[in-house]
Amino acid sequence: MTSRNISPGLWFILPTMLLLATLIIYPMLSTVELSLTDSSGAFAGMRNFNVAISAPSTRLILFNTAYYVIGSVVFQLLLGILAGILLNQQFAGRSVVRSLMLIPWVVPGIVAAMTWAWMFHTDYGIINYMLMQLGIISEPVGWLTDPDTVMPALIAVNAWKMFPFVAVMVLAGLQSVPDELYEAVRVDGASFWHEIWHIMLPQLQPVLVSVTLLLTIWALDGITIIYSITGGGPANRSMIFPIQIYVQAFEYFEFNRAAAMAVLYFLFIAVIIVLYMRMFAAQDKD
Amino acid sequence: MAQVELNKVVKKYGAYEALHEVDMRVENGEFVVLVGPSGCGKSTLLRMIAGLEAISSGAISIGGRVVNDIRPKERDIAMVFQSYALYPHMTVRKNMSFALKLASVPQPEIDAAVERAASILGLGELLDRRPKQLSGGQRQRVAMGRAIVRNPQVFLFDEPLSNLDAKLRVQMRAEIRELHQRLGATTVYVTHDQIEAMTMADKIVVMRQGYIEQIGHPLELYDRPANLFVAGFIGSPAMNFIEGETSAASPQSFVAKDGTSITLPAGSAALDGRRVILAIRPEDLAVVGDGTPDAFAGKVVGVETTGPESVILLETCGTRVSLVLRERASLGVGQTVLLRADPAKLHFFESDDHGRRIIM
Repeated sequence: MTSRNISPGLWFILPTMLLLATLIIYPMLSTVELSLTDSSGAFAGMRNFNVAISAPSTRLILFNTAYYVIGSVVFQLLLGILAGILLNQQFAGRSVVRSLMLIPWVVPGIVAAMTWAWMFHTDYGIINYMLMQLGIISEPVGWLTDPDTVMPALIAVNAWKMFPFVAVMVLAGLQSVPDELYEAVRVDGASFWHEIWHIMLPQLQPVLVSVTLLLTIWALDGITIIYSITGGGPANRSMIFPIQIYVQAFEYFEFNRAAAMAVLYFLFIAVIIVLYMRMFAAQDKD
Repeated sequence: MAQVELNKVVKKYGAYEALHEVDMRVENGEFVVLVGPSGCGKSTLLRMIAGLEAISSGAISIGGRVVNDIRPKERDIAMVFQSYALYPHMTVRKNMSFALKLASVPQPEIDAAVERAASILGLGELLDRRPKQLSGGQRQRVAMGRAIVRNPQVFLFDEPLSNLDAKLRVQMRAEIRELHQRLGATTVYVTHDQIEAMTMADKIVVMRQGYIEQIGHPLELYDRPANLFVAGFIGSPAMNFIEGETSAASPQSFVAKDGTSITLPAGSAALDGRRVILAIRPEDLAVVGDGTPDAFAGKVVGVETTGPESVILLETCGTRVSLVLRERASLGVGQTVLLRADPAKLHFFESDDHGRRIIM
């Protein structure tokens, strides 16, 4: 085949394809190669995978990851939907509140994480201070050092950080709902709760499906908050998979084992996303 | 069923007054059409009856109960919206049963009510479809079905036919009218289309700029419009208006701006020597032969044929008038013809801003 016979379309997409190949496909293949070799580059079969899977911490880390992702997404959605619906109502100062709400989302992740770390500090944190002043707790709670509170605290930070994104999407979705629908449902005898349940949420469904997918992906690879606040501690109680991969690779320099974990994690995420897409692609046809 | 009464109803948006002390009464089982150009306040008035707009002052009562501060759902009304406002994610059946479900009506009763409404409107086949799978006319019917199912005291329609094509509109007009005869429900219907108003209403309320211009039976409005606005709004093609003065001499005559003289019927004493506007409907003008008494000349400037009749546009009396012929016109543009106005069908209006009818 001479160059004249090649469809011109291929020439147009070639630069992009080359870029993608360099930046995505090559690193992916290279990671797979790393996961199947040892530190000297010799073929190691499934050994790295076996080590990664049989490590005593793996189950805890998987559990933590699921806990963090599900907890974050649920609270981000709940808070975001609530805020979006409230900010869609008429009240004085609405535009100011709408702008202020965006702050958590706009603040850089590392800044938010460090601020929250101080707020949660056992001895000097404002949260313990306020709770003690109000008489809700009698002695300081080690939010980030107690194994039982560390994950809820981190989920709270992540929910706080991302809920404005959900609220903005919900607000945009609600503004495309025709007013006559609300009026019809009001004439039909609906309360505000009915309006939310029977009009707003069904109308928001396509938005929420996409938003949930994005939030899930972001939570699955969300390193910033946990790594900068607890680094995965105490005793791995807040360790999630992406951080573990990072620690293996760049703190222990176990690149092959980290690569094996990355491949496993990639498959894990791929399965989740495929299931999710299946579920909602099926719903669309309905 | 119930009557609807509006007593000095005012609607203000800030300093702007959209409706000025409107008084109106809809009798039990009556079909009342609110008609007027866009921005006249007719939809606002309807929405106030529905409870979707607050009342600035005055009172609205439904079935003898003042409903000013009562929420829409407690007013026992049903409304059909211009865009139909069907719930997109619900089937036709669910759309129709939704209000009853919210009111905790037992399921067998709901099913029976939906079946009944569906059979009245011929929706039986469509009950399990979603709104987006329906045509415009079918959606319109579902919207009416949703209203019927609730068996409300009052039906409110907000320009329900304006999204349909012309042919379907004529069909749905008849269907709504038929439905009203069948159910006998008190109905308030808003439209900007005077033909819809004329063909459907027991009583028409003509509105302009937040005022009611005239209330009456369709033919009463047609035959005795209260002012120039109503005269020009009701009827198609619109009524002809000719400015001029009346003479006091006998026999009395009307002299148009360009000097054309039209003889007035005996007993027009009220018109003695005044500046007035003479009005005549296009079908009350006739093309006549030479030698006909009281005829005046007009020059043909256009001919529009609809099939059964022709509309002739003419220049005469210093203005443009139209004339309806119940036959195919053989007139050509540029031709001069003789016209005669039926003296019994002349209307006169004051030539001031109000343009009130002069009663003789």
